[in-house]
Amino acid sequence: MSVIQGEKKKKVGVLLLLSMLGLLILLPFAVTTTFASGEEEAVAEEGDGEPKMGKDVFYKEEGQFGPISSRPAPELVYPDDYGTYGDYQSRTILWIANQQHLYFGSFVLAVPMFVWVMELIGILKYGKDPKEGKKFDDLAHEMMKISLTAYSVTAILGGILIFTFLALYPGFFGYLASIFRPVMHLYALLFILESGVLYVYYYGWDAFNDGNGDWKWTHLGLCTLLNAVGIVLMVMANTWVSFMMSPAGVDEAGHFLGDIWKVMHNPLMVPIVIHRILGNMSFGGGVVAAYAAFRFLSATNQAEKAHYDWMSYIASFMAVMFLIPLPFAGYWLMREIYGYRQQMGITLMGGLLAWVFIMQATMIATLFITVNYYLMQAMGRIPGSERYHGAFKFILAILVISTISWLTPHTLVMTPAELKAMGGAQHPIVGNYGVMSAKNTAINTMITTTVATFLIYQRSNFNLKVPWAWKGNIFLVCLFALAELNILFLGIYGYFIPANVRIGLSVPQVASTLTCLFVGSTINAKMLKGAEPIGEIRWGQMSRRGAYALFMLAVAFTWTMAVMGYLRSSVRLHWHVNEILRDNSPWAFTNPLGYAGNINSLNVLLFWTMLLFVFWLASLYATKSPLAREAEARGEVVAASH
Amino acid sequence: MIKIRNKTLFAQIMAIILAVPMLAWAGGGGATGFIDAGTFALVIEVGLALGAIILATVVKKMGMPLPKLVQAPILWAVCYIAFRVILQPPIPFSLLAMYMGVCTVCILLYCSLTTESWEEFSNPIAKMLRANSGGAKMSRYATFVILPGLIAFQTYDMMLPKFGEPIELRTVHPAPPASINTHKKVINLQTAENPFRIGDDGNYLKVGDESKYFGGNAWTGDVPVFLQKVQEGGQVFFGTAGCFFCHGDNLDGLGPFSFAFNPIPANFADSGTIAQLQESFVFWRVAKGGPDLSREAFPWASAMPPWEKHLTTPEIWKVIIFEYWHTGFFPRTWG
Amino acid sequence: MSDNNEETGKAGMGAKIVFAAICTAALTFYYFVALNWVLMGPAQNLAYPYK
Repeated sequence: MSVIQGEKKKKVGVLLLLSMLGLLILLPFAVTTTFASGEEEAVAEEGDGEPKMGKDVFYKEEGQFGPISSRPAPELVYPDDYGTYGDYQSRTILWIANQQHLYFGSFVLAVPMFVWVMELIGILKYGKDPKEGKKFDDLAHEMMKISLTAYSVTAILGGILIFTFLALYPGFFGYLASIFRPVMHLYALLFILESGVLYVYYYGWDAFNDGNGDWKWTHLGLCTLLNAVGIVLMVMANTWVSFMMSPAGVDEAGHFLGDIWKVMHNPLMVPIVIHRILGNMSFGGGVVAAYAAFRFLSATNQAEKAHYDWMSYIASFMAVMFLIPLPFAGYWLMREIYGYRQQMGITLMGGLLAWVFIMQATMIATLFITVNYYLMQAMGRIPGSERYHGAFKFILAILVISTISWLTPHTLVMTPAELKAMGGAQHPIVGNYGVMSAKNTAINTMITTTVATFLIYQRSNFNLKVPWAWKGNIFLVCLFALAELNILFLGIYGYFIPANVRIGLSVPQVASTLTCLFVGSTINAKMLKGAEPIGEIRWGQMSRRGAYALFMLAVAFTWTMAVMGYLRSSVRLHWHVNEILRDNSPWAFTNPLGYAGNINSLNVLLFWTMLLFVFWLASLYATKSPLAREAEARGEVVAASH
Repeated sequence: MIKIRNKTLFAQIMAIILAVPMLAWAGGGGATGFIDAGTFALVIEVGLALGAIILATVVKKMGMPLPKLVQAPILWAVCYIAFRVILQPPIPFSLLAMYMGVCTVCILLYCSLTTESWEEFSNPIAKMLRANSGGAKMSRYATFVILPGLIAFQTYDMMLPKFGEPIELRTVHPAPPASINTHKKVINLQTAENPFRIGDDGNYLKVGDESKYFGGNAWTGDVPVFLQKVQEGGQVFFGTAGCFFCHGDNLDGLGPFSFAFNPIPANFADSGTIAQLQESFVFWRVAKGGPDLSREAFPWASAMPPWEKHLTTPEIWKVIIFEYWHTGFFPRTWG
Repeated sequence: MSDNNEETGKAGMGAKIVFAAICTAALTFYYFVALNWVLMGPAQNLAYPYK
């Protein structure tokens, strides 16, 4: 009786704690509004009763004017407002500090999202099959373990980043802090909340674990909270970045106009946030998959190999799930950039930085090819997949053709002699592949193909038993063939119409791809009902090439992040805050491509070195003590003698 | 047995039926100018690809499948020939390197798609590296002489002084300034519209709607307002300014003076030039020419004169109307 | 006789498959035409919210 009462008390306590923590999330918004209104008053007192009004650089119509609530953006002077470490480029140092923090930050934000899904699946499966449920639960726990080490690395890197800012860019950081003052503190405070929840969540894993009971659900609630705080944190940090690209809530001189929400809700904030969340998820999945691949390759026994083979599949599946909508989110972001400033769009896509996009295109193509290759390798452990081996080369061929069209640059690198031989800056044939119509067609084709490969993967182990299987097959073939035809048709049609109509074409193209994804996978799943497995999946027998492909996938993710981060940041050219605060340091130039490439590679290398350390730590934790190993060895002998 | 032979025969006949007329048609067309060089190359390529697939199928059906280790270099060579020789005019080396990089990676992936094919591909190599037979030893020695030799040659070739002009990463369409000042007026390039884009009703003609005037003759007596403007633009192009000396009678960048310029004048008939740009961008380039290119347009390689010194603002807008009308392209618009 | 039956049965199946394939292809085709038709218009009017 008393035990039950104690349980009840505990539950009430936990619920109270959770709701308190939940309320804390609302804190930023509450405090922001208070701070903002407080500041308005302060200025009103300072002036002659009437606050001076400034005109917002971005918001039009009503709300265009706001009370001037801060000093203007400073005219930065070199070397007074900039710090240096010898002759070394300050910007590169900051670049590296930023990128490393971002890598770890996005990793620790993404992992709880996966863990949430894994834990939920674990709980839901527990009722039917406790063993299967526990498998997912253990997976979630293990992912969290990697994330925990990475979390402290993130915090350390965040500290380094702040110090780098203060040491090298005090003038700029001072201005940014004067605008975001209240939000920056909240950011730090929310981190305390995040840490608290994280530690309770992680260390309470076993204490809360009652299979699929109320405690377990509470534990999942903690994870929800963790994710909510994480997303709020990310959104806050993103608003600073997007403010630098597309300022709002300030006037032309850089005066803060009293409404922090307008500053945060600047033109590029929403698309950047969406793009980043999706990107983080993909990246996190990729890194966890790489971790699993690492453990798969270094596993010493069959059981471990099988476990990590399975884990790598689950993680890479998650990565791909978020990879597929990513290009669309990126496309939207690009549209918004063009809408914000045409110049910025041209600098990115057709002008100065166009070649960086080619680097990115290479990476995206690598991602999709690698995913397909991994799925093909993974089919090596599935009995029954032999039926589809013949299709592999055609899938690859489609991907190669798409890649070549996807990679063809609009602006070519060539010697003047080559230019003459070609008869113009654009090649009469190849030039046609350098424009948006071709790119959209190529990427949609690649995504559709990836979906097809995945459907093949799903059904490769089964003999279909539903009576309408033949109809389903016909439907799937028709769906994919016609969707591809539609994508091609729209792509070609795009050459014959004006650009503003052409932009509209990408929507039905995307819709065709998404139809394949959703309708195709639904029908496929229905067809697999009651299907009879051809043999048991030989987990742990994936080829090593598959594991290496996962590494490739994860490295490609990191490189893409590096290159796109560089691109997003350098499009501001010589501005700290676009059109408001000028960068007057000697490093306000756009780096040559080779240099940018080298620094990006250095960043990737640095990140992976640290990450391998984190992986190693995780495996160290799992290593049994020599005593336990001896005992196990004796146990095995005993078992064998029976 | 008979069945297989029939199949082979069938495949061969199909190959001939498909490839020969196609090649003949393309060849004849290419020689007589019936189709342009681009289409010719495309047809040849498709023909070759189909031929190669059919040939591979035939050889396989005949019971002589090529080992992967042989297939890979053949595939590579086919790709190289397609991009280097068949694709005309020649593509720059940077692009060729990119294409061949993709092909190389994908051929390796192709060879390792399944465990069987990977073993088929890698076993001979492993055997060559490990086996103790005389043949394997000989090929080892040969490989380890040839490989360093190749690298040495490449190094030598790289160190050789070259006399060609250096590679240029020229920004063909640099980002325009937000606004320009021409004829004492500020023109906002984000929002500026062509004032001579006038429909029959005298209102602004939406981009895309001018297609109804395409293909007609602007130089007959009674034409709609839009075509009158085209006509006036044409007078600027061929008369007042003489754009055609460089940009050509057909606006294809092949005017009588074009050979003297490096880089050659812009080819408006190409889908990658004015078709990609806003009318205001073209206005900026015509009005300000090479001397006022923005900073990122390094190395400012353009012989385009600043036409604002010789033409009025309306004349510039009209010649732009003419250029779009003549090439049948639409300017870019947003929203 | 039985042989004959099997033959006709098979032929029936083949015809069925061809028929179903044509029907599905036509239906999916119409679906995509409708998709293009419906989406192309509004897509162009997805004006920039920050204009």
